[in-house]
Amino acid sequence: MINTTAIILFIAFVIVTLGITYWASKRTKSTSDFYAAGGTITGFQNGLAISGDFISAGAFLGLAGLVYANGFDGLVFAVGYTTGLPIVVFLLAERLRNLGRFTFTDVLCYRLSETPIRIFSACASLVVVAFYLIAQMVGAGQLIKLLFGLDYIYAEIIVGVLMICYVMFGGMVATTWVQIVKAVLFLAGGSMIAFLVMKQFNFDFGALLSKAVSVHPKGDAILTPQFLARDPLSALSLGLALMFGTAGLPHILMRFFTVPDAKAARVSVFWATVWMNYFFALVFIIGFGALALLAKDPTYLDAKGALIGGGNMAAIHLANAVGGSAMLGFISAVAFSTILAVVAGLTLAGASAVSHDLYASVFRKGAADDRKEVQVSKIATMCLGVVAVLLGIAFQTQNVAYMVSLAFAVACSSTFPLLLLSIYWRGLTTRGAVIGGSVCLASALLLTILGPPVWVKVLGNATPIFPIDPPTIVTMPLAFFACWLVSVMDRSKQAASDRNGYDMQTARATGGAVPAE
Amino acid sequence: MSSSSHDPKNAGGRAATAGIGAVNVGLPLTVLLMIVYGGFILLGTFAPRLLAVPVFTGGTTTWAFAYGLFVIVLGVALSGVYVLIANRRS
Repeated sequence: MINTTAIILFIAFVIVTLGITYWASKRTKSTSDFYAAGGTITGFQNGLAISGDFISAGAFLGLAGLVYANGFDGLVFAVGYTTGLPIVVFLLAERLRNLGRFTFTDVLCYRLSETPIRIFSACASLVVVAFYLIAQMVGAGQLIKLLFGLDYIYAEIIVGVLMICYVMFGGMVATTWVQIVKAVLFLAGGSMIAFLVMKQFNFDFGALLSKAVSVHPKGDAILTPQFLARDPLSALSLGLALMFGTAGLPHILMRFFTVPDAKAARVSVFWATVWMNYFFALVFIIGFGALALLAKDPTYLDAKGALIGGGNMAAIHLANAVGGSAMLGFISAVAFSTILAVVAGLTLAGASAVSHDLYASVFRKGAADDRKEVQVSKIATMCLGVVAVLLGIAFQTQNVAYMVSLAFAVACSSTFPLLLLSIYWRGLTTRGAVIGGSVCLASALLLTILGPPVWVKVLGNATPIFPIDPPTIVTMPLAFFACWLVSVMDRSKQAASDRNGYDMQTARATGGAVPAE
Repeated sequence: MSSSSHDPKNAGGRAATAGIGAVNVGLPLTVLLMIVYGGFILLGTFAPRLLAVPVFTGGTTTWAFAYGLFVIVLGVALSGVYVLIANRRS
């Protein structure tokens, strides 16, 4: 299906965003600009950028695809995603801003010993970023394949190359501006599709649902959650992961360092929550709209009755169905740039874990010069780009929203517990954080691989070795317990200094006067 | 806690009060959202039939949609409450 209008619009849009990257690169002068946009982004702008990070392939393509296949089950994910950011607002946002410079690791290092913590959290960031990257790469690859009729592997490589360009030349300023521009366009596009869908049903949501029920083989079972009851432990586990995973995502936490102060950090998450939750509410209409309008329309189905291009493309087909080629081109372009920008943000978070946390702080003990550090981060970007392409190819048949939930599961059993404990619990020591965190990162990773996501769906085995998917309900409590246990038993000199640092950290975190050191 | 110099202690004490204030707002809001969202997941897991009941008799929109939308709106409302309180304080 080659569609010229759609392709022209698509290419125009990609060129414009590359232009933004170029413009931003002219303004990127220091390391601070590169990682944190020099702390010059306003709260409202940053809010849009954060929602841009979320309204990604995972949201739009994956969720619409899940609803298309399973009805309300898909919305369970949509509702879960919306609970994440408020938790970040309540517990972390302003303290992060007050304590950190570029990455959330800076926050952990405020009172804990630097070297072991940085090594651990760089590993944790890279694992989380990798899972999240997979989701975005799969979405982008399928989109390019569908739109241009390219082979999936070439599609992946194109995405990888473009993504590296974004990050290399623009850094954080560029990814922030690209996120802002496309968040606005995406919100507008999503609203338009939802409006056009509702118009077909005379703005009667009930009528839309009746139509959806009539075309889905499961009938009115799609109007209520189905998969949760099948496996209660996995259901609760998923709930935990969706709610607390956001608070451990390095690329989201990184955004709080781009605003000038704690007040701006608060304002930015508020706006992010507004836009994001609005968008996920739209998924109610878009998802069921796709089901109602596409499921019996041969234009969008292949010989076997499955969606052309795979389930992740439901929203893209819907754009065509209600708005024609122009809408298709517009939405594809915005969706693609979204993915590209999210991937760029993720890669930047991963690269800064390598260059800022490992290279500058651990190898060079803080004595690396800025130019060298940015250079290392660019090399890391290249490597991550290659890894992302390979992972995108390995996981190509997976639903994207589901892959995102795996990233959440790992995040909330590794980075989130450490952050929470280091900010709110005096007793956390370096040893507790590193040993506890490593145990849990390893277990989350291992149980994901032995569980349904990798063991069954990628490696093709019949039954998983570990049945709970995602493993959060085991690994998250384990993370807190391990950090607690090791910290309490820690009688070292370092531990005493870790605990003593707590008061000063709290003073700094809450914006009180910082005592002389 | 220890007999460290008075300066950090003072600053710590002052900030700790502010810190406790911030926790006082953030924590109950977190718990509230957890309860409401937890209720959604628990109902879906153990009593999906309750969520399948239509909001209006004879209609197709079920309580699952209403509850889901409520969680989404609540997230925005609670964030708004937090920001209002926190910004007034500082």
